[in-house]
Amino acid sequence: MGSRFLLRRAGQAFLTILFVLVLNFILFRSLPGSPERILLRNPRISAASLEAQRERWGLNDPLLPISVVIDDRGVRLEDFPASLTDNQLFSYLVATAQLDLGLSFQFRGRDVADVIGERMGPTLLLFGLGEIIAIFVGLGLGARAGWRRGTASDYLGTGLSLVLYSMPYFWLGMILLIIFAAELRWFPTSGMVTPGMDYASPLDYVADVAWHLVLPVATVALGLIGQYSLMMRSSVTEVLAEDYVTTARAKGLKESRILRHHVWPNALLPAVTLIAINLGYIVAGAITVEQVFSWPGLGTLTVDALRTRDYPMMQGLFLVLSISVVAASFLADMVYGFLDPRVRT
Amino acid sequence: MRSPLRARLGRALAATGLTLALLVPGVAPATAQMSTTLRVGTIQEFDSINPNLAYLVSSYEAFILNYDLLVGFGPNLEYAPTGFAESWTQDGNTWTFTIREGITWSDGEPADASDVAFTYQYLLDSMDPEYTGPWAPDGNDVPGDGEAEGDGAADNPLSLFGDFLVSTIELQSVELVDATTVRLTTAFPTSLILGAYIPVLPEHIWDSVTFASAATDFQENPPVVGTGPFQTVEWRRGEFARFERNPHYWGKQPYIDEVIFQFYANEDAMGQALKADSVDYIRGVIPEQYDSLDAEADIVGVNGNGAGWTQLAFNTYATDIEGGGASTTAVRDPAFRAALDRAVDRDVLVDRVLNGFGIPGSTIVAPTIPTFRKDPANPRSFDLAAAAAALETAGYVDSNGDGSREDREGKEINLRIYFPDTDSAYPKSAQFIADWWGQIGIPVSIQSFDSDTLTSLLYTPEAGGTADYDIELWGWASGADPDFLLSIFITSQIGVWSDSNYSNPAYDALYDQQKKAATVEERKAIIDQMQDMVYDDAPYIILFYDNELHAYRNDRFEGWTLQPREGGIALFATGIEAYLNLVPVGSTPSASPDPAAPSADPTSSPDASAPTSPGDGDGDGDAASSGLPIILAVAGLVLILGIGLVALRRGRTTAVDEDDD
Repeated sequence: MGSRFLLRRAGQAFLTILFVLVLNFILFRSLPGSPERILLRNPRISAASLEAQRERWGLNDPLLPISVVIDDRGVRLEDFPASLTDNQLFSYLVATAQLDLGLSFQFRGRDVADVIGERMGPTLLLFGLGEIIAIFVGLGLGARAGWRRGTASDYLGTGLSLVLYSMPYFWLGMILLIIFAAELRWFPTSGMVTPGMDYASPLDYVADVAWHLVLPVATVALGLIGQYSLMMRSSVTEVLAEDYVTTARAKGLKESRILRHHVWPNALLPAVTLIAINLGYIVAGAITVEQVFSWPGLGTLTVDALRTRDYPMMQGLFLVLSISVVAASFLADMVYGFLDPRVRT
Repeated sequence: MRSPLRARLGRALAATGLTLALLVPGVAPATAQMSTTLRVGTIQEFDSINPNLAYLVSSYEAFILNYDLLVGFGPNLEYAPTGFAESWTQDGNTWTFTIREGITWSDGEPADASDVAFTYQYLLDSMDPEYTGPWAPDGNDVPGDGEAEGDGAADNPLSLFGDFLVSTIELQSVELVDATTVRLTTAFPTSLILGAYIPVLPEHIWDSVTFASAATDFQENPPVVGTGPFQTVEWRRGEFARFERNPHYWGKQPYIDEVIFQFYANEDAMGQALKADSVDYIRGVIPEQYDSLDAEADIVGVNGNGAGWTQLAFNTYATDIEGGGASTTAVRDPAFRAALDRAVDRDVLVDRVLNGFGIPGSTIVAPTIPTFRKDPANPRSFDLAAAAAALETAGYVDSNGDGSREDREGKEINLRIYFPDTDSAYPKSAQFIADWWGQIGIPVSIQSFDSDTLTSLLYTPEAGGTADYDIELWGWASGADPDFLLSIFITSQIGVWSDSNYSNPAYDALYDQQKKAATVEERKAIIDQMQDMVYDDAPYIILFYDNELHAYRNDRFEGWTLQPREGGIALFATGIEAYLNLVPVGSTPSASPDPAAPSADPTSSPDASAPTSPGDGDGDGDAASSGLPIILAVAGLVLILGIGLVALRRGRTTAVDEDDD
């Protein structure tokens, strides 16, 4: 039973990713602006030279095995192919299957996987840390507020969470930046390290990164804490109304024991889903925070890739995004199945 | 001089950072003396450090630090012997340049007149379809697929500089006389040659580079070899670029060791960074921010006169374009354009959009170039009623009574104004204009694009595009000579730099005359006519001449020399004086390294001049003052994690003693 469940989920995940790959491929190429024109802004460049560049970047083959025509007569398919393999989509799928993400336009031929790998570290560091803090603090706060609903600490906690939850990252980030970086000067305003700094020891380096990390992580964590604590509060409130809680009370269990052993595990279920979804969106969520703090992660890379029509980079980034979303929901399913035996069948 | 630069074309992702860093610590550059590092913030990142591919103002800054020009600039941006040439003489069409002795490339190779001759010949040949030689092994005009011969144009022209040599000064020959003498001959006597904004490139490096490579991807990665005072040694795209002092620089060794350009993603964060002393200088202050920055005790605002402008450019392309072109033929009609011009209140734009940091626009020579500026002979003032009446007279009436006018073919007019997403002044101006024009029966839809996409929309059929726009709202930057901005209206620029596709044989003839004019007076008389001609025909509605707003901190360095002295800016100023003049606050200029001192050892001179100065306590104390915040931060994190761990532990126990219940 267990392995069939696993297989089915894995199969679904694979199909989702394949679908996303094809969709992204088409989507990016429908954007206005052509990459070779943006690469080579020399207006006097000759047609032959442009042609050579198109060839070099693989933009010369037909896009799709068949061409989609959209005109007054509606949408039709035309030009059924002599071969299914002589087109950019096929080459792209094959290359991706071989884990070859291609060469970046904007980084003038650097391997996309290398660039993404380089930028993934800072993003994971920022969001990983932010998530961990938010999970502990947010869930803790929410559970407490739900447990003591109606008390002053509930109002305070819920109010605070609502305020945090409704603040967009870029605004929250900007406020933190103005107070703690510009006015108090406790923390740096941007980046991950001090440029051109020499470090006497690796420890100094770690300290420098930690120093740069505080404000961005605080932004991420504060934003998520609001969300998690609100969700946890309502979940706990709901569970408290369940019969088994009443039963537990009737058995004369201590309140703290009821909370820990009866309420907390059950209330945690929706939290797992929410956290998993958030983990999946690390790349997407990073954009606004990274922009404010000029953090050298995937978010800033995404904006840049979009701006320069760097197709291979965008495909790589959205592949990473899709995989992380799919993997996170796959993981959520697994954990869910583990936490709640009823889902396993 | 020549600055074919899109004004403020940029945005940048910013950041500093070694990546995957926590995992792989330890790679570290040479000891950083924070007090000898100049930190410059900019929104606009370099687009390239290969000067042949550098289109943006920020990249120009990179190449004038990396390299030297043949003729440099003096304190007021006048031509001065601050480049390769220490003197020059003109004899008719021929200019003879005497090259400074004892120049050395930053890699230690000697630099002399042969590098100058090489650079000019290389650029010239890249433009020549007939060229055959090592720089274009298969010929410089390779036929396309299935074609018998080439298209008659060079395949990989290094046109940023080559256009100037071929079209503007019509350079005929480059002659290397001896190691200290180069002779350049043009088709007519011209002093514009002195304004060639062309870096002298090292022959020993570029000689082996084909045009195809130079025009696409050569030298995108540091380190750069140049003769300028600082060379790019590190460029992390989207993060920062680091320049190191050139120990072989022929001039006085600058005090600063290192220049770091930090790329920011937004202006507000950059302004805060200046307040926080994270950078020393910022370029691209937004008008709303300027006063509050300038009011800070340690910050000085720089309000430079811009020689460029922000314009509405009509797509006046003369024929219909299949699948593109303007949405109405009305934009081809000077009367229509002039009528719309009367419905633009420039005073309001300067006041409300620029917060007063600019001058209302009129002709194509800004008032900041007084030598050639002329006020329009037939000025048009803001008057909505008169604008509406002029539209009626010109035949643009609302015959079907739907509230908006039709063009002469009876087609409803709905103008599309496109602008780049690089400057908040663009959408604001567009909103005002849409409102005014709406009031006289001309509906407007406005749309923002990233600048690359917008550029590709502007390409005409000549450049392989469809010119699919009605009006472009954008801007141009300029140097002190108006030549380049005059040139964007000539017919041959359609498909190249022209964004209005204006074509007027009379104007083309005047353009040619002015560049060949014998005296400044004669040239001014011609340029006067050109200004009136473009103003009257109105392919452009020049909204305003916007100021260059920068700001710097005055508590670490002094010697922020403005170029030009009046109304100039310190960095990104065309010249590089400020980089050479900066010294720590409190020290006198004489305390900087002695120019006569041997400078072979790159580390000796600045370190020896002990940068610490009294009264500078919190200025360069970054390292020292960072201790407390780190402790606080770590403490905070530990506390938060601690709370979380307690919560986690409480949760965990559940699974274990579930059965007990």
